[in-house]
Amino acid sequence: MSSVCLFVNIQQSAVKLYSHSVMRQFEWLLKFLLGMIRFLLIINNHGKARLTKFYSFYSEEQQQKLVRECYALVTRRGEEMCNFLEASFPFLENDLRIIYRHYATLYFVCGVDAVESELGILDLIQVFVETLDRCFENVCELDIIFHPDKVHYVLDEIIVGGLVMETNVTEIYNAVQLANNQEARLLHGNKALNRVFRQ
Amino acid sequence: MTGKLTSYSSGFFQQSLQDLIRSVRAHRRDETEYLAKKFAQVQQECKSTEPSEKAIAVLKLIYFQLQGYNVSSEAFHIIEAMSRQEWWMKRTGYLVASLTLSPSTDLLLLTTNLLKKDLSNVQSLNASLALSFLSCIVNEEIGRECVSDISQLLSSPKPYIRKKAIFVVFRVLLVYPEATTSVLPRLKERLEDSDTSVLCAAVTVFAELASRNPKLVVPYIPRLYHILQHSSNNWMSIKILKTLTALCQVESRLSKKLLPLIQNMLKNTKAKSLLYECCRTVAIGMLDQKEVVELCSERLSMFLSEKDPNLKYLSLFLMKKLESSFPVVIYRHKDIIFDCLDDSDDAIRRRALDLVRRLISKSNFKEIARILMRKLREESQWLGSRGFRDSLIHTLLDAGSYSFNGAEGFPNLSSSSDFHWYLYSILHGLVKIYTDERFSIAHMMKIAGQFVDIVVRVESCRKVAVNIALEWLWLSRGKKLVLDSNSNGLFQVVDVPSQSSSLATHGNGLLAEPLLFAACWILGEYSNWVEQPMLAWKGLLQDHLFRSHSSGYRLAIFASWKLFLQCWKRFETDTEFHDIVKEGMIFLQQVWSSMRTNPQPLVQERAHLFYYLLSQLWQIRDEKVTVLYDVAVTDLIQVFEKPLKPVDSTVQSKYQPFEWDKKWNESILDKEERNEMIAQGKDMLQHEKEWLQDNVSKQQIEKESQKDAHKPRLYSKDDPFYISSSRKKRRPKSHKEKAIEASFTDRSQGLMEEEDTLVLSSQPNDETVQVFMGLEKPPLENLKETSPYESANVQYETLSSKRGLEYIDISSLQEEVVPSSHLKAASSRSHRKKQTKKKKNKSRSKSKDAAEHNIQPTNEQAEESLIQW
Repeated sequence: MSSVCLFVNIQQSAVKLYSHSVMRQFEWLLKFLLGMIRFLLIINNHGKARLTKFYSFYSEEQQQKLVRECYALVTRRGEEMCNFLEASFPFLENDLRIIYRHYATLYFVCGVDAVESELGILDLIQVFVETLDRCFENVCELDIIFHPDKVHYVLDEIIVGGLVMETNVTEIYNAVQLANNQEARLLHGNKALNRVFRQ
Repeated sequence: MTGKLTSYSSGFFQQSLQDLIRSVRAHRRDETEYLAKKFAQVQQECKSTEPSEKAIAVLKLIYFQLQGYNVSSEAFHIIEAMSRQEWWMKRTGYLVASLTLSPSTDLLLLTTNLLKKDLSNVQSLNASLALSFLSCIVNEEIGRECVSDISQLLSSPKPYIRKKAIFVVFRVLLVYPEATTSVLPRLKERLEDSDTSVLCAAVTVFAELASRNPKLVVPYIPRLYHILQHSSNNWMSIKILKTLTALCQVESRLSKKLLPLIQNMLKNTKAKSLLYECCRTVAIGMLDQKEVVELCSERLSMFLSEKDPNLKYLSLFLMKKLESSFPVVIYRHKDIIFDCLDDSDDAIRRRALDLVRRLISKSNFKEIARILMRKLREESQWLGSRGFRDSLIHTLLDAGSYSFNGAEGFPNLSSSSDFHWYLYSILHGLVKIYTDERFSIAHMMKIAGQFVDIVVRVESCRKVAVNIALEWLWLSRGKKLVLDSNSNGLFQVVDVPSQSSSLATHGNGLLAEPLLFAACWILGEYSNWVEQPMLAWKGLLQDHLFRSHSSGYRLAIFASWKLFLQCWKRFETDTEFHDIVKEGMIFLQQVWSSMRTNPQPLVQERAHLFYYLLSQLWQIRDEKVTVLYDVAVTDLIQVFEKPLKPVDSTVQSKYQPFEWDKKWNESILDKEERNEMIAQGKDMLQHEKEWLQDNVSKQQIEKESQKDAHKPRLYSKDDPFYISSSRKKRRPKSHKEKAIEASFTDRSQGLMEEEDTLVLSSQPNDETVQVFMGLEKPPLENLKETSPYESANVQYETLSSKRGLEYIDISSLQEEVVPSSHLKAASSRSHRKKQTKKKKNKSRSKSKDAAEHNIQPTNEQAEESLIQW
């Protein structure tokens, strides 16, 4: 705590100096990040975002636009159509490929670059859903609405920095459980926190 | 712990994340206001001195981020939560930070020490948290500080940490490339890792590196190859194939080395995603290995014939890649490709159309065009997607245009019958389909442009063209020209019954102006082909051809004038024309005089001029038309006598441009004016000189470049720009040519009803195709006999019941994987109706032989094409 407080004053002066170089860095980064998964969105049938995770850097506006436009693209496609789309968004530099899957009330939409394997990503979404199903025991939309943090923990074990780390459901499940157990152990006996955290 | 319990009491009434979401859901009506209120509240909570209250508040920021709030203002509190010792607070902090901060967040610098500390704490899960955070947010500063700590984790005893560290190192390399030399050897060690998931991670990272900087990865090819040979993990194999595909483009020997392995994989792999990846490797990296290309195209056709639209889509994509070096591949699978044009999925249809565009050649253009026109009619009935329709039209027009895919001349049209057909069936056909529906103006312009272009270049088309032009004029008024059954070969104007009538009432029945302009011009210029001048005059000049504000009538007036002169000329030799001339003169006088009050000045001007000429030069006396000034009329006729021709550019270069240099040396201004200017301080001379120099040098450059351009360009027989009258005279026509020409003129009328009677297609023999392709005879029959599909179907059926990373069909998962859950997989893909497909196959099989080998025109065709020029 104290170490952080010490930094505050330095931050205010130093950061302003750095911000220019950092911003330049940021632009360069945007161009460089051609590869990999750009984002994963969970959108429901009515266009409401249930979970968003971005691996490239988009402003809040861009994020919301992406959700809307992806939904518009995906929702008018029939079930018998293929799960791939090529999309160019006017507010983004590069064209993206959209890979999506529709489950009951939810669309899982993934934006990837040209290098990623389409069929691989399609399988990955399946793996993600399977893992969620295992973690929540019969996952449904409500689980994802009320426990975004837990869904993110699962996702973090599958995709790291836009690259696919693990595709084995058991491994992912074990990794998530390990962290959850640690949390449970430390919270053991703490009723107040249990009330807040483990609903 | 117990001590802390009391301190939590202040946060006891605090809403948790779940409470917050629940309360927001309860306020559906005023959600935005409620959210704003809650956000302010959470911002207050973030400032709390109570760590747990702060952590819970920070967690709630996730929800606001999801709703589009910018929460970067709370970055400091998030970082505070990250720096807590309590595991749950730390975990929450790291999660929220990775979601809400960006590499440009100012406060990130504060985390450097914290990250270093957590990264070194390998025993607890802190290191893992820090790595996850870094993977999302790393900038150059942090990268530089932490790279040594992270690369140490590459050799951590825990596989879990190792594999995470690999990804983070990669992200660091992206923002801080200076570390490459120090980190790469350590990364390379991971390629030898005993743990498969770590190995997989390393391979993934190398795949990414290869796509960015292939040369960096070249030294590791042997190792990657070794892993691929012994890999049982499909994900890893895919990644290695991706890497090797990228490397094939830098290391030319690699494709040969890969050949046996890929061949083996293509034969034995069952997982479709891996199989597809193999095909991709071949299509992108190994086009120089013919044997494997064959195998690859077989696999792709297998994918294409499957029901799964995903595989269809992807294999069409790869087909296109293969086609660039092995065009024969798509010829062999053209039936399947045409079937894909009927797919319900727009994306697949577009891909298929892309391929069809490549399929078009001289010998099969007609067949393909017929199919595309049929599709177009269906599309406009169903009101299908506009984009696809546009690209259909685009494909058709492109294939018939003067230059196509870089080739000059009309590459797909050769004999005059081709041009007849193209004008009537395609251009006129398109206009007819779309009278009731708006084209994009670009398409209209293109149609009009091509119409004029072809008619000017190809003499034998003019008669047909004039009739088409006439029909357009009447179509624009919602009327139709029908052959009169009583009189021979004459037209009658008939109302179009159902479709266009509604449009006429809306006043939208007009064709687009570019089309009408073209029609007017053609009617005027080639008026000697007009058989019913009265019909043409009425078509040109009666009301409602153009919109009231359009100045388009100026063209119509001019065209009708040309037509009148033509009629007069004919009357001089043929007295039967007298009635027509008389009727026409009365009609024109009446219409033109009424047009003298047209609101458009351009129209007024023409109407005045031609009305004057008409009434001054001719007179109706005793029911007879007589000319008053003979000489003037013959002169006028001569003006339009000389036919227009597109001028060959060699002729253009001979034409001396106006000598600007001399002219400009003389001053435009009077001396007095000049003096005035100079007095005003403007150095005119200097200015003029500069301007002149620029101009002269430009002209010289242009002249030279023209010369250069023309030197190597010898006339080619396919080049319709080359219309040399001298050559025509020199070269006496052979009997055969004469006969053919005669047959065209005879039959051109018949063409109006039967577009396909005049197919002059010659069949190139199989050998020429083989030589051209550099391949053996395409074993089409063999392919069908052995039928890989059957065995494949069996394979895939067993496959779909497998789990894991194989590409799994959704329908199979529905029962199996998420059985009792609410999240059921969407309904299984509906089976496509086979019946329609069969019909199409039948019609296509007829055309198969002709379309199969269609690469270059034979000598006969070339000769035919010579005739017209």
